[in-house]
Amino acid sequence: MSRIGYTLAILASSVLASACTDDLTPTNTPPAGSTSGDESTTFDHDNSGISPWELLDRLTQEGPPQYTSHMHSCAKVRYKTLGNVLTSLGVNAANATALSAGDLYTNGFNALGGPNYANRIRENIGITTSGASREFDIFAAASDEVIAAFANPSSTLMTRCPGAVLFDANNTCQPSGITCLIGTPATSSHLDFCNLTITSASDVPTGKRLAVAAMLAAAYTCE
Amino acid sequence: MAKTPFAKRDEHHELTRRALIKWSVAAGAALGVSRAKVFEILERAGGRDVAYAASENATTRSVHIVAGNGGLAWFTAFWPHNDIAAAVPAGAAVKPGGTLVTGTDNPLTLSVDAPWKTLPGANQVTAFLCGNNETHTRQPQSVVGLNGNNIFSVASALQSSSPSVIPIITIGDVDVGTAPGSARPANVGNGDGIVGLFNSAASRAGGLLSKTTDATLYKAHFDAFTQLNRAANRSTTKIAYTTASGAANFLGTNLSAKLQIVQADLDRYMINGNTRANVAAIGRSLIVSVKAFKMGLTNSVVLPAMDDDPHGAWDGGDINTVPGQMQAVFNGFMSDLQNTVDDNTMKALGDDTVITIHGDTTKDPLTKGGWPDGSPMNTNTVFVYSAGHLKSGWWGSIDRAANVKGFDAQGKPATYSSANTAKYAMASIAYAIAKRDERAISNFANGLTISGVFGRPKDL
Repeated sequence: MSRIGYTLAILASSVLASACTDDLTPTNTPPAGSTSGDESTTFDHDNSGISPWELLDRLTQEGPPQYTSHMHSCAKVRYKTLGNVLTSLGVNAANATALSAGDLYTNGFNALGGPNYANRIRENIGITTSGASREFDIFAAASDEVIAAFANPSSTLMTRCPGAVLFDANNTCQPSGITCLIGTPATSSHLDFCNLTITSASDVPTGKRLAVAAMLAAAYTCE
Repeated sequence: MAKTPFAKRDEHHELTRRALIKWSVAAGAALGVSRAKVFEILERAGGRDVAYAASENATTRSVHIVAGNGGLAWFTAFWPHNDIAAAVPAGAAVKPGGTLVTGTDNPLTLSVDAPWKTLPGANQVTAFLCGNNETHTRQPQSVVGLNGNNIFSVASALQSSSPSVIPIITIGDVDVGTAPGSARPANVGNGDGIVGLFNSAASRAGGLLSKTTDATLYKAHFDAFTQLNRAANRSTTKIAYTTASGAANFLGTNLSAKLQIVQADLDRYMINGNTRANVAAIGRSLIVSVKAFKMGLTNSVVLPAMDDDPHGAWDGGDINTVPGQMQAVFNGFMSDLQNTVDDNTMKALGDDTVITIHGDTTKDPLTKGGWPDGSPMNTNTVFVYSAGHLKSGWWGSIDRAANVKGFDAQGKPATYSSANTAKYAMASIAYAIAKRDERAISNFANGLTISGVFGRPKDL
C-alpha cells in the first residue's frame, strides 16, 4: 500500500473508532474488588458541595472560621446589657408602669432568656423568636422615651451624645442622632431609610417612633 | 462517582420543595396565619403533592406533666395496678369498682375516677413501671432520662422538624435538662403566662404596631436597617438575623385574644370556685396549650402538677373529691384535643398529641393510711397517652402481695430494673412523638427496638 493509502486507512479507522466509542467498554473500568463503581453499585457521592472558589472568596472576606465565629457571631444582647443600653438611651429601665419599656424589661426576664442561677441554667446566648420579639417590643415601647430624651439636655442620652439631634424641625432624620442611637456612624442609607419610615407611616409621630424602634432593634439584634 | 445531571436536577428539585414547604409553613406559623391557607397557596403554586407533604407533621406535639412532691400518687387513683384493683385488699390505696378495659394490648384497669374512659382500648394509656422512687423532689430524674438526655429535650429535638414560633414552653420550675438539637425553652410562671409569650405590647390596641400598615412597615424597615449592618450577611450571623426578622414580623401580630382563657373554656374543664387551686392550674395550662397547638405556636409544653404530697388523701377524704376534679379537667383536655383541628395538619389534635405524666413517687399502693411515700422495690411509674402509637396497658406490675415484676427489652416479664425499664419507657415516648419512626429516635435510643415491642409498627 502506498503512503497515501496508509494515511487514508489510518484516518478512516480513527473516524470509525471515534464514531463507535459509545458502544465500547469504558477504559477506566475499575478492577475487580474495587470500592468504586457506578451509581448502582457504589455510594453516590455528592460532588455538588461548596465551590472552592466561593469558599476561598468567603475566607478572603470573612477570615477563617475560627476568626469569623468569634468576630462575626451573633449572640443575643444579654439581659443585664439590655438594661444598660436602655439606661444609656434615656429610658427608665425600672419603670413599673404597665406596658412601659421598663415594665416589659423587668417582666421579660424569662422571655429574654435571662440566667436562672438557682437552677444552674446559664443565660441563653442564642437569639430566639421569643427573646428577640420581647427585646423589639421593649424598643417599640421605649421609642417615646428615647425621642423625649433627645429634647432633654440633662438626660443620660444627651450626656452621652451632647448636641445630638435625631429629628429636625421638619421631621427629617439627622445623622448625629442616628449615630448616637445605633453606636456606629450613620450612613446616607440610614438617613434615607429613617426618612422613608417617617413618611410611610400612618402619621408622622408614629413614623418617628417606628424609625427609632426599627433602628434600635436592628442595631441591638446582636450584642 | 459524580451524580448524573438528571439526579442532580431531581435532588435540587427536592431541596427546593423542602425549602418551599419549610419557609412557607414557618412564615405562616410566625404570623399566626392559618396554615390551611398556606397549604392552599402551596397547592396552587407547587401542586397537590407539595401541599400534602407540607400538611403532615413528622412528629406529634407533646404535653409533659411533672407531678412532683408526691403529686404522681393522685394519678394512680386513675390507673391502679390491675391485680390490686381486682383484689382491693383491705387497707390498699385503691377504690373498688375499677374495670378492666377491653381492647388494650396489655391489661389496664380504669378506676371509677379515671378520665378518657370513652377512648378505644388501643388508644388508652400505656403505663410503665419504671425508674426509682425519688420521694419529695419536684424535678425527678430517673423517669425522664434516656441515655444521658432528658426526654423533654429529646421531644424538643425530635419536634424540630415541625416548625413553631416557640418550640418548647416550660411552666414554673420544671427541669427539661438537655439533649442534642433541642430548643431552649421559654419559661413562664403559669399557664396564663403562655398567653404573654405571644402577646406583644406593640401590637395591642393603641400600641405602636396596632395598625397593620405600620406593622408591615416596621418589619420591612427592620430588615432594611439590618442589611446596613456590615456583618449581617456573614455566614455566621445569617441564622440569627433570620430569627430576628421573624421576631420583627411576629411583633406586629397579636394573638392574645385567641389564646386567652375565657369562661367557656373553664366550663368545659369544669373549673370553678370549688376546684382545688393546683387542679385548676393544670387545667388552665392545658386550655392554653390546646390553643397554642392549634395555631402551631408551640410543639411542647412541660408543666408541673399537684406538688402537694397527699399523705392524708385517704384519711381526710380528699380522695373522694380531688380525683373527680382532675378527671373533669383531663376529660375536658381530651375533648378539646379531639374537637380541635390543628391549623397545620387539618387533623384533630387528639391524634397528634402525646401526653406523658411523670413524678417522684406513686406512694405505697397497698397502704392508704397516711399513704406512705415508699413503694414496693422502690418503683416509680410513667403514664403515657401515645395517640395510639404505643401498645396500651401496663408494662410491669405490682400485685396484691407487693410482688414486683419488671420487663425486659422484649417486653417480657423480668426482674425489676429501675434503669432499664426507665430507658425502655423513655425510648417508647420518643418513639410515639416521632410517630413510630425508629430511625428518628436512634440517636437517643442507642439501639433499642421499640417498634413491635412497646410500640406499634409504622404503617407502610
